[in-house]
Amino acid sequence: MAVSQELRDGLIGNIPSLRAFAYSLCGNATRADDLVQETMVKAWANFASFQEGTNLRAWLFTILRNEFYSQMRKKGREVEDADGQIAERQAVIGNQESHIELEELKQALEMLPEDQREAIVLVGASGMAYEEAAKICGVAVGTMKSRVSRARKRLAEILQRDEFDLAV
Amino acid sequence: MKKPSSNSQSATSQQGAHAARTPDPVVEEAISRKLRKLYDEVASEPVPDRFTELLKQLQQQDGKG
Repeated sequence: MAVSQELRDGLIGNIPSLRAFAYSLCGNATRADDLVQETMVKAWANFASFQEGTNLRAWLFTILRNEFYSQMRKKGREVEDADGQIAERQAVIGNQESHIELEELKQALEMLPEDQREAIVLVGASGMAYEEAAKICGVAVGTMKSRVSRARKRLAEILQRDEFDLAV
Repeated sequence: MKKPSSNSQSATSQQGAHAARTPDPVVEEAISRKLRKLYDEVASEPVPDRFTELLKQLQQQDGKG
């Protein structure tokens, strides 16, 4: 089946948010883009099962999320690869101060349980509605709300505790 | 990640522990801002070539199949 121009454009249009979602989730630029690539290939192969007119972003985010967790299960948590670190350093040249702030946040995100991390990334970082985030994660809206709220509290605890360390 | 202390205490006095840990609104606001920044910095980058190339390949495969 040929993929329609509309879906193709939709896929291209969603690449920036897919990359941001992946990066916020895994904290590694190279791995994030690999996840996006996998997501695009899977989406392309499964476009026949996508109902046109429904929420394409939610559909794509769901694929990326599933891919992320299936990779985590396969490989376990890995030490960041050297490529990822180099890519990250290049991305932040000239923006050192803000990099330190965001680095703290990234570390704090990694300390969250994964259900809370994806919740705060979807709602707090991407600005998605609770309903859409709940759909992507396959949980009730109330569950999503409580995960986001617990994630916010936990992040505040971690960052309040660590703040003095890096805020030079 | 086991915390050796205060588990039983927090179970019995959840209200008190909760109140003690209420986050500073300034910190909360800073966290919200940084979360959006982390996401937006990547979301505002131009689409890397590898993805436009990939789309071309996917389309070509379809054309042949």
